[in-house]
Amino acid sequence: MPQLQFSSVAKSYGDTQVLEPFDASVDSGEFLVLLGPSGCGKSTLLRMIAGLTEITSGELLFDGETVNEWDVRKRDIAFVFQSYALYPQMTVRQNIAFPLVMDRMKPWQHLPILGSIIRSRLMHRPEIAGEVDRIAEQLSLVPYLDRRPGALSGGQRQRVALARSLVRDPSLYLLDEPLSNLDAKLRTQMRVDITALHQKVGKTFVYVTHDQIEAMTMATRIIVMDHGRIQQIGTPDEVYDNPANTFVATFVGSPAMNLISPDIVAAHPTAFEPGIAASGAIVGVRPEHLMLADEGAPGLPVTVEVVERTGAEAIIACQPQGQEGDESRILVRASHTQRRVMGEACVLQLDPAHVSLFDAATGVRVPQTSTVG
Amino acid sequence: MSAHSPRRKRSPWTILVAIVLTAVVGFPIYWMLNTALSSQRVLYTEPQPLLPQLGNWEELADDLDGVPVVSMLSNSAIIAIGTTVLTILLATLCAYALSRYRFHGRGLVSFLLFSTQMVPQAVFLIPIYALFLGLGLVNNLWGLVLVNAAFALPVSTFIIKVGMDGIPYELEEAARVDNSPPLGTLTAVLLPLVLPSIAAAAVLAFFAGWGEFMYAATFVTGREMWPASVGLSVLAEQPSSSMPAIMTVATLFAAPAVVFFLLVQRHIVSGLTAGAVKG
Repeated sequence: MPQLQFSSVAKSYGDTQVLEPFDASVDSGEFLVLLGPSGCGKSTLLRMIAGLTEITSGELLFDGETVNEWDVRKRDIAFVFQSYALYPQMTVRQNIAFPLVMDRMKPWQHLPILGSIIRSRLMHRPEIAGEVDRIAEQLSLVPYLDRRPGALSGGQRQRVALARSLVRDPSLYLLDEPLSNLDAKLRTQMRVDITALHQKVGKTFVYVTHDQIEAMTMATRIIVMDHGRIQQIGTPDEVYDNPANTFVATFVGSPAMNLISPDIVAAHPTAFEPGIAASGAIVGVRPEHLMLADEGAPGLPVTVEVVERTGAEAIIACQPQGQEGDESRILVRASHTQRRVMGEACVLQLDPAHVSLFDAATGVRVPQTSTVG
Repeated sequence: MSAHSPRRKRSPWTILVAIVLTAVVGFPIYWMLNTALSSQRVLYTEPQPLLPQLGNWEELADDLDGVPVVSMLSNSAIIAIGTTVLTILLATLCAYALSRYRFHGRGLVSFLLFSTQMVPQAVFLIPIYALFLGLGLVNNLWGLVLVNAAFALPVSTFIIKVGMDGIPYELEEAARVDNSPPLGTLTAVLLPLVLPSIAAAAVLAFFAGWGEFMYAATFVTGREMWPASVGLSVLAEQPSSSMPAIMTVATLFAAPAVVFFLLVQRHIVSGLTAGAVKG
């Protein structure tokens, strides 16, 4: 199980920098999630780890050894593609067995016709057939072993792709948005399955997603990326509770963290702690750390715009009085028992212990100890 | 992947048009067979009967006596199969390189490949003859294999390349991750998927080798080396040749090509249209 280390690793295509130099390390057995919007460079980074995309500068190390020049096959990895990349002409059994068969074939045995005869013979070897059956059993694929991928559902194909990656027992698993093609219900189920799988095999997983729910529920550590730049590295709790900047604050969490502009804070100084009000910073607060009180109570006066009931809770969109537009809208996560109606005037109260401050110019997190107090 | 479209009920007009077209295309073949089975005397003295006459086997055998039918057909088979194998081998590798690798001069290579199609084949006859004379490839079936393969190569390469372009690159990357060497990826993953295109290219190469006349007539002088295309032409030019004998040889010459076409025709259509629509 390799420990991964990135040392000033960067990627560019000509003059276009798609991944800026960064340093990071991934411990053995970690479940690292690369999280970011489309085009942020997370898949490129994953492909660089796999050896499918060249590293422009910097060093990637597996257990202290530079692997920049290593071929994919030498890296002992499994890669689950977003499209699953199952071989459509092969049955599920042949797909799963493919890595094992390839491991046992000599270079000259890949010649046309001869290769197919040898592959067919190898498929029947007890050690290969047994291993395929074992993995198929583990992932509930036994009834589909003789079907082709085209005859499987999205979830079944996804499991075949996982089975093919598991069968060789690699030391590093790389997964590129493997759940993005599944429906919401199946995605939830597969999320649990993959987490359980990680715990079972105990290997290092690097998982790419743009879905922050996947990242929060599966990761032991998250790297948040945007525009080819690492925005924050931390555990899900660190990223959620202490976002490094306004991008992370709004990208992680659903609904996103509310960012209250310094203008609103300045207009209602009594609604905030004195340190916060005087900081001139953007005030970030998660929807669950806001409370709505009746008009007249101390706090930020707001008007209820929309109430979305999701069953167990309600998301209430409020607009500070005197403001309009999406920018200034504040979302509150409230109990479903709280009854508010559109147009109702209320007061918003912040939990000062859960407030983040961001520099108004750069968006970077400002340490609160220096401003609040 | 191979989902069949639901069977539609055909209108009487469609059936009528199909029958007319089949008759127009099939009549020359029928007439060739009919002539082959007729008596030479009847053909020259009476109107040709519409139905085949089946009692002239002895006369036909006498007419074909001395005509090297077997060697002609086997020579054609060697040239056609050799052309097909060589063309497919080279075209597949060439198509793979053009489809998958980005290299300087890639566009130029494609252009040069197709520029050979812009010039009539007859233009190359004398230069290639002179070249082959020095290489000892004149009056040699393998020389004809080389020439035919060279002419069949550009179109075959293009057909296979279009097929390969439609295969997601991720499959090759998956094979690399699965520890497959490049040759294994080509033979185990790519080739089975591009088989329809290969079948289409194979048919074109086979026909190019089987029916080629100009180069065969020029390069092959020995009677024992004649392919059927040349033998048939010589037979037709001889005043002593009977019409049933000529048509019998023509039928035997056409039959393998028709059988080969029928065997792979399903693949040809999907191969020729590969990449035409997003799958």
